[in-house]
Amino acid sequence: MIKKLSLIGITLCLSLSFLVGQSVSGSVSDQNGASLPGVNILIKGTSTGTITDIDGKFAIDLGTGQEVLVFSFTGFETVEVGVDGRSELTINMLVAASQLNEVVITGYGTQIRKNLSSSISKIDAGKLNRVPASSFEGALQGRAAGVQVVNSSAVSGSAIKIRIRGTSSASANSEPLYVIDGVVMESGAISASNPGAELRDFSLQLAHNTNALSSINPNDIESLEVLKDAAATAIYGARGANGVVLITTKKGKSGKTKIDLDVQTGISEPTHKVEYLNGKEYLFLAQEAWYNGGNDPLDFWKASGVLIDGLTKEQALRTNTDWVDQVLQRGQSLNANMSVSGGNDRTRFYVSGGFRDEESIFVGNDYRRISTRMNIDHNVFDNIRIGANLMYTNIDDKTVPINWAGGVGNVISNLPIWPVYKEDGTFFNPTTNALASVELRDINFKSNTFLGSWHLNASIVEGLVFRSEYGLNLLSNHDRQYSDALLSTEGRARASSTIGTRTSWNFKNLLNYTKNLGKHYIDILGGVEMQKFNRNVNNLIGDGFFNSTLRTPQDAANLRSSFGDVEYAFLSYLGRLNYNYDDKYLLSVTARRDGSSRFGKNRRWGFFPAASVGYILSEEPFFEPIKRTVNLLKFRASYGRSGNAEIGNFAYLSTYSQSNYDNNSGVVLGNIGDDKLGWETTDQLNLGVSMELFNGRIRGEFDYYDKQTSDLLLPFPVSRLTGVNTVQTNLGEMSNKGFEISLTTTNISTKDILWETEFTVARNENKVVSLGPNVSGGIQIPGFGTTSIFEGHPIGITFVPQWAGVDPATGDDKYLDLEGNELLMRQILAQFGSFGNFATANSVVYGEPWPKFTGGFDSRFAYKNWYFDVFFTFAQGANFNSGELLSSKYAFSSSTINPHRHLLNRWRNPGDVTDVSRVDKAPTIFTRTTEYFYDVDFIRMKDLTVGYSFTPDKLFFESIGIYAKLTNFFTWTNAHNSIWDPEFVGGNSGNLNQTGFWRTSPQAKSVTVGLNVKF
Amino acid sequence: MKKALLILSFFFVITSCGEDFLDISPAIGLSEDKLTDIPSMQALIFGAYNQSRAFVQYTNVMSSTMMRDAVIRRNVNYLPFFAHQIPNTFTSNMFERGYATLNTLNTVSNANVRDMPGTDADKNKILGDMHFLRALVYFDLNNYFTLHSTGNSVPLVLSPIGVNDRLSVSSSEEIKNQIESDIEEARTLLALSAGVADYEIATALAARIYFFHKKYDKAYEYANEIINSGNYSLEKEVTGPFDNPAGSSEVIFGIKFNATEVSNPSNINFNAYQPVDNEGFASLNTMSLIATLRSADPEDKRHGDLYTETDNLIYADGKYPTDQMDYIFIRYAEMYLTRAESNIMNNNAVNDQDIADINEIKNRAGASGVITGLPSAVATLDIIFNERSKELCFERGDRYLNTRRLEKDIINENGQGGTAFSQYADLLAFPFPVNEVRIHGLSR
Repeated sequence: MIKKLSLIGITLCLSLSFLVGQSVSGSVSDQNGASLPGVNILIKGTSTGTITDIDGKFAIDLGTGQEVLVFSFTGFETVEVGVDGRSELTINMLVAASQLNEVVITGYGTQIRKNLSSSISKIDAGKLNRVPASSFEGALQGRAAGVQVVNSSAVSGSAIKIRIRGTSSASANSEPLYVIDGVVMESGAISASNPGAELRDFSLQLAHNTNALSSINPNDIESLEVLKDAAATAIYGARGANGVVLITTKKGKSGKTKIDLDVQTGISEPTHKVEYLNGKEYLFLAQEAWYNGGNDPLDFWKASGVLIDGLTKEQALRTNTDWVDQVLQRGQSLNANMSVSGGNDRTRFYVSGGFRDEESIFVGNDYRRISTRMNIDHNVFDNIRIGANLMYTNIDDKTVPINWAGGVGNVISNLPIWPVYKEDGTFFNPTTNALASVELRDINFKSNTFLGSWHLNASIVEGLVFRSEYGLNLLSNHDRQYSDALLSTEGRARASSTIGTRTSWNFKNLLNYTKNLGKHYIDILGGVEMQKFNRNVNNLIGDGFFNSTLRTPQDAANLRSSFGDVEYAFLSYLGRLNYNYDDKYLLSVTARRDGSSRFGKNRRWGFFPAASVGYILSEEPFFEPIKRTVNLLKFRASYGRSGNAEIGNFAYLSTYSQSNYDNNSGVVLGNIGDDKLGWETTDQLNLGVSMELFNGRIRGEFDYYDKQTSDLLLPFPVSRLTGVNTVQTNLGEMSNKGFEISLTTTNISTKDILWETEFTVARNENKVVSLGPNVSGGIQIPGFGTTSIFEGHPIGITFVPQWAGVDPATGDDKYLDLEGNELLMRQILAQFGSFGNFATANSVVYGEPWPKFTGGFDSRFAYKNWYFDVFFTFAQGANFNSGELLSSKYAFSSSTINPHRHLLNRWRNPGDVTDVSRVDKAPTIFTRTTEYFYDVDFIRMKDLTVGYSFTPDKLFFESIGIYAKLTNFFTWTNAHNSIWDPEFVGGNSGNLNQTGFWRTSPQAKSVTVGLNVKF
Repeated sequence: MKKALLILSFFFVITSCGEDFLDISPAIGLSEDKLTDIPSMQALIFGAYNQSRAFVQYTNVMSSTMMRDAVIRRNVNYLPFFAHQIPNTFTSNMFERGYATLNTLNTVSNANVRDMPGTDADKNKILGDMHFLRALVYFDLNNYFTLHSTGNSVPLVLSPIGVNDRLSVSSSEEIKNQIESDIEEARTLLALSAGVADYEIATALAARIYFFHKKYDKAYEYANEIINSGNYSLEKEVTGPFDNPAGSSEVIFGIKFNATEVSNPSNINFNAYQPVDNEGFASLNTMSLIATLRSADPEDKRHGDLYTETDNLIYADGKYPTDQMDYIFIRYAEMYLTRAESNIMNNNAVNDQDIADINEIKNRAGASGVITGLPSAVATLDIIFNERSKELCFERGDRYLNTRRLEKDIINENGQGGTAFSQYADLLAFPFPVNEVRIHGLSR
């Protein structure tokens, strides 16, 4: 490390020695202050000129009498500036009408959209903040074509699942790579602990955690760029295959200091409430089932098990609890942000602070975030600029269980004839009481995140820029949990404390050379990057407290501890050449060589090349006659390779792990390693067309892609005789094919009226192409459930027996065997012994784990000071296997469940034609079948905003705006009523087991009003 | 340009940063190549004992439910056991955990322990424990996975196998031979040097093994040896061993409770039987043999002290009073019943010692019908069957093993009449995990 630091020092010294020369220098930026690279600068009346570098800097020598510089750049208004003896100039160029000329952040650089031959979606700040979300990545939904967004729950600050162009992995992490101002940020849950396992509380294992990305205040973001095709992602090599999201935070601009204050407050409610039976209905059906099961009706109250915890028949008869209402509430939120930005031609700054306080729709959930940011950059000399982007965020998240552990997930386990409280005021049946499981638990996740990057930019000679950047991401978290004695079946309170730290740093050095040679433009980038990541976790569990005021592990009867320590590193070399000829023929070649400690010794290094070409037909002379109509027509093609290195840290090693007995140190086989284990490789072809019509009134992009992922990382099931269940291995191939369309139109644009619309749609088809020569058919991953991977089908499919409806004569379910024969349960038992044996022999691949179409529609209408925005998102083609309905079916037998109301349609008499079999006391066949699959297509009004903004005449405000917005307010869906929300069906789980979930939870819809003041 | 070159050279100096930057080893855990010495072998033995806890944890609830001694009030995982529609889920866990334990033991078996530097005492106890635990695991695997009609059982694996190895099933007889050979070897080695198990524990397990292998001469010899050793005694109260297994004179071998882990047999059993309707899920089947015997002799403390009766339900909670106790694997009382029955089987006649053995158990429980005189062998065997059922029900599957050994009927699901051994024998063979069938083509 010392060696490296001293080298940085040498660089600084060397750079200082360049401060020589008598040129006029300066910088060129767009109207938003973003640097413009590649701007042509000519001394007026001569052919002498230069271009701006990667940071929009330039320097040029003037001859005697040469006083005027001409700045020109495709897509921008040409600017002529008199030098007037100044040695430094700051030039702002205004965008010409076309938006295709916006500057797009690419990995390790920027490019003008017009000259881009890869596939990158950009979402700017305005659109990003339309939907008041605690984490920014949710805003990608419906905005960036081909980006599928699934909120894991409406719990404040919980994780969001994102798939770009489908999922290109089997079991490795498939979230995109997030790069914030050049620093890779680990996404996923902050909490390093698995609270459920440690508290010996299985249910809590499924509890959500705080989303690491929610540390970023969305208000600080200037733009999001989503890199989609291989030409764009290959520069991120072994970590690019899931797509890359580049986050650029706001920077200060030269000129007057600006203050921006935004305050909003809102209330929220569930998007939908699932309807369960009420007390009367429950008793009616329960007694019918009791009778159908051959029991004496007179024994119902005594023997059916509905009277528990001292409840009497009389109490049950007069109780009608709506458990949903017990655990859901009207949420409220307050969000305040303030930023101060400004600067002069040497120094620019942006300082902000944000506060968010939210009580969600879940009783007991309270989330608070305080975030700060300071971005600063300073021109030390004309050709040397330094800067830093610093962020600190504190999150205090009091969260609640929403799944098996309790809360809304536990509603189904509480009968409507059960009261919430006993007559003495204590919780009735606390171990499964949905409200008790919330109120008698404290779950508090606290985290502090620091994200910083420091950079140095030095223009060495004309066109050659050196950039050195160090990024640091520190996260410390403290998760506390307490679970009251009343909640555990053993009658002991438990508490857990987990303290974790994550440290990751990256250090990169880049050289960039840009040059215009007549009609040739070249832009060459080379660089090296080192990254290291470390995570430590200390966990303490206390089991057994003699007094309920004691809630920290230290006070417990039994104390257990665990410790985790992992580390990984990447060393990478990267290069890129962008070339264009005559602004017409575009070429980009990218390559990255990645080494990682995660890969087996024999596969430590990977090479990830990509190339793209573009042809701007509209620049051809023969196009001239129609160019006034078709302003731009560009064809793009790219092909390349990127990887997914999210394979765990030491999966390639065979290791023995601790397994003590009676206080003696023991070990057992923990992992069978594969020293050839490597990254998943994705090769992607992208063909695209970009066009712009009628002076930019219609702008469109169309992309077709074909992604082939090979060496899928799988927990491949091996024989248990080996001592383990699975071995991590690279195996098989998967494909994602699809297209994306985005279309933006300016329908009306007059002095007073502006009406714009934007439409995105994407179709993706995921398919497992092969599982290698040794596997025929499919793989069933060990564990509970029916998760399977089958050739020719999407990843995440299920393997279930086929349900064939209800027999009208008996009211029993019918199932299909593989020959297509309909069998009743008694026939199945006679033939196969058990339903399990039948299922093993007669299951079929079933379900649509992923939507076929996703997209969004946005319309913005402005009239004088008023504006009106409406934004819809949609998804079509996925279906969902409802665990709630499966539970409902056996509500009266093995589980005590309050079923969904659809059970009211049960079969009752011979001849009844219905799709709900008769209710019975018979034992459960707790197996998923095709019966429980339902479509979950939806169109949702994600946002509707009405606002008014004006500039007061006499006050010192620049503008004052007020607005009101409806979020998630209307949803049109074909999803079954028992599904809480069609948009959220699966939570933030991986790619397997997609189609079936139990114990899900609703999303929130909200009404928000806000005030925005600019000084 | 010169300066530019300087920068460029700097650039490349940085890039030549060594690849050792990528050499990161796990901070936690042991790599395979370190398993070469006696301390590592000892650690594997402790690891295997730990694994055995998860292997045995469900046996009791599954088997008591299959015997229909217990009814399942509301647990979707166990209900099919009552209906004799044995599902894959839990039985797969048992298979998996058994073989995980065996893999650890076979790693020791395959290592040249004898050639490693170390004392003979250490080597004897390591190998003794290895053989003992391997016998224990194969004994239960063989009991639950043998298909009666073909006599085929699980694959016999005696060394660590690789992911590409393919095996087929072994006959139950082959497995039995291995179990007997292992337990004899364990007795020999543990006599020289005690490990986790010792000579007497191995001898007591051997008595059980031979008893259920119907080799009554050996069963008698070993049970007799334990009783004559004078090292164990019955507790005064029937609840004695269960209240404090770790300190009880009656407990010959208990698998240790580990507060730091999730898989504790006591946790599973406590949760199943605990006397709270909506928290536990298994209670005494009021139509079962156990319930019938209970009604017939309410004064028997094994009924009064080990069950909790409420208006609707009888909870079989007495043997698992807490979720934090050792799992009793061999209890001295079993030795009396084994010795008595083995002796009768060997001699086809009853003697005073046999009656004394039975009365020892009855008297401690305060049961009625203390035997006087010498009943016939057939009558005595019936008495022993009932005594064994009362004494050892809800303990690690003894009722299941004994019922199968004697090919007795099992009460029907509806409580009326019984199902003959020939009808249930194959139904109760645990299915192999689907993946094992797929990978090895296992077929019984």
